[in-house]
Amino acid sequence: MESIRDWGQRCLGLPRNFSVLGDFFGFRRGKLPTDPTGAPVRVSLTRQVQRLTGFSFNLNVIEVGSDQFTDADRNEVDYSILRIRNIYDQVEVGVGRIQHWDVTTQEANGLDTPTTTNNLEQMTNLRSIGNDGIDMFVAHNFSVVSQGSIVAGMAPEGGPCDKNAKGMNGATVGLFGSEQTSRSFTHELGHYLGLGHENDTPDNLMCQSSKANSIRNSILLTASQGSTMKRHCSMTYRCLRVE
Amino acid sequence: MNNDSDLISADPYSVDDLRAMVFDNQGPLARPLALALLGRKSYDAKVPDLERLLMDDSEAPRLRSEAARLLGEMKDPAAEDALERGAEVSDELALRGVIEGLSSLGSVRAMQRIEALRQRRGPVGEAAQAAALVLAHRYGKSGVEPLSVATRNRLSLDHDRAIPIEVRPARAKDVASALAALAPAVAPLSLAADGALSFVCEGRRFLLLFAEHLASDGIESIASHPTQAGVVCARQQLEGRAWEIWYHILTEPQEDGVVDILVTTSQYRAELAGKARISTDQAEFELWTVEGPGVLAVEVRGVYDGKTVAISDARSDLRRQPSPEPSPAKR
Repeated sequence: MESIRDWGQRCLGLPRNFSVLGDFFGFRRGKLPTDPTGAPVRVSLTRQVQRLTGFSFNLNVIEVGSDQFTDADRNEVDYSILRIRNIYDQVEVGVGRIQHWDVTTQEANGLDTPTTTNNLEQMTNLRSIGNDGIDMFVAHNFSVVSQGSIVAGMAPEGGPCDKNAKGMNGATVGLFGSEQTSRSFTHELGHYLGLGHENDTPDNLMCQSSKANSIRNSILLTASQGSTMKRHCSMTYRCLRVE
Repeated sequence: MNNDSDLISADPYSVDDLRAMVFDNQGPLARPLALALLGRKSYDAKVPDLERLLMDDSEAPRLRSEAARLLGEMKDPAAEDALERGAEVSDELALRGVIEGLSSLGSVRAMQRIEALRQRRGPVGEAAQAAALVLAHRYGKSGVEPLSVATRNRLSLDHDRAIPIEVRPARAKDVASALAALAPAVAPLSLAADGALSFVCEGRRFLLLFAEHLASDGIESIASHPTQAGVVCARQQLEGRAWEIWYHILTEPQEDGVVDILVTTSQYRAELAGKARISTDQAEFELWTVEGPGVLAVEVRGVYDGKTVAISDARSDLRRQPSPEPSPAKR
């Protein structure tokens, strides 16, 4: 049977000597993130391989204002990566290769501090990654309001795979504490993969946080939502291990 | 294509709860989120609370910067005093927040404070320079920095694949709600309801609101001094449907009846540039996209007759320019 190393190289384009937590699972810090409740954190190599033999998509995580990110901020991002795998697993959607990218404060030209939805659109057009992954921009000082509410993230519903298309070409999220950031991260990528809001279902991931029963536990996805996600242009299918 | 967002409401939290989370780190929310939500509340001690955060050198720069922005939103003399004191802090991110706060206030005093920060290097100086440019035009003041249209590279529009942008008179209802929402944000500029235009670009409906002085002062309003001629705004595609300013339209007279035009984003990045040529009773103008990563080629032509602006032709490309890749992260 094909080794995990050969399979990771062939299916995910990983280097031959890839690190399991850094390259294979995509944790920027190369170690497991901490859970804000103190609960133990585990990942399963077997489960991840199984998931990637079905529908999956690749992801680029772009830190905007990267020189301002602290280790705690990066833990929020890594915790989001842990959570998105577990949450999307319910509908058998895997998250494959995750690569991390940096846009410094100087390069961000003010967009490390987005204050309008226009800034969020501009952020997704400022930089893009020339691969098949969805670009997720994490801005360090996200400060967008909408009347009495805070905008925690924004993404196009059914986002494009052509990164030079008009409009917004990536998803965006801010840092608001591990629990909130991870939910918004997963919620916004849900939009990008074609899901709309489910504000009448307060336990669903796609219910906005302001209407959800719980930031930690309102993460359900239905089979129908899973089917929608699997139809997105970024999905790849069945990277099987050779027997 | 619609954009969707995740929203967090301030309603479930009391001011006392949020203050405890911000200042004592006690409660379920992370401090940046608690502060952002506290900013949505009105209460007596808001200015001293925000100033305390802004001035505290041991605080996280992100919180200090957010506190400064929230002070600017308040449009309050005490908040302006606090921001003036905040202009003395040394942290760069906090100072950028102060510049944004002062820019939101838009007063002469705020403009002078911003101008004093223009000499700084890096993102602080750049933010101050850009904010000062818009405020100076709003006050009809020259000397901050020329719009330098001649030095900006034009992105050519491929006419074979360009599509027309439909421009029409704006709906009175939209204009009224946009003016009500945005008037404080552009003070002392007064925006006019008359002559507003509406157009759809990238699937989004925009409003073009012109300054009142364009109708009242005629061609002289752009021929004699730098000015802000108007704004382009759009409604958020979110539940709140709040109006946002997307672009500022700045003009500056040159020699021989030519007026430079620059359209900047809300963070003052040049998006469109162009020129108007003044004849006896009208000015014909042309605008085009300034070259840059990820920009969309657009061309706009029209006439300003001393009262209103009419667009004769507006076109855009179907695809954006490529954007550069960022640097791979170092572990």
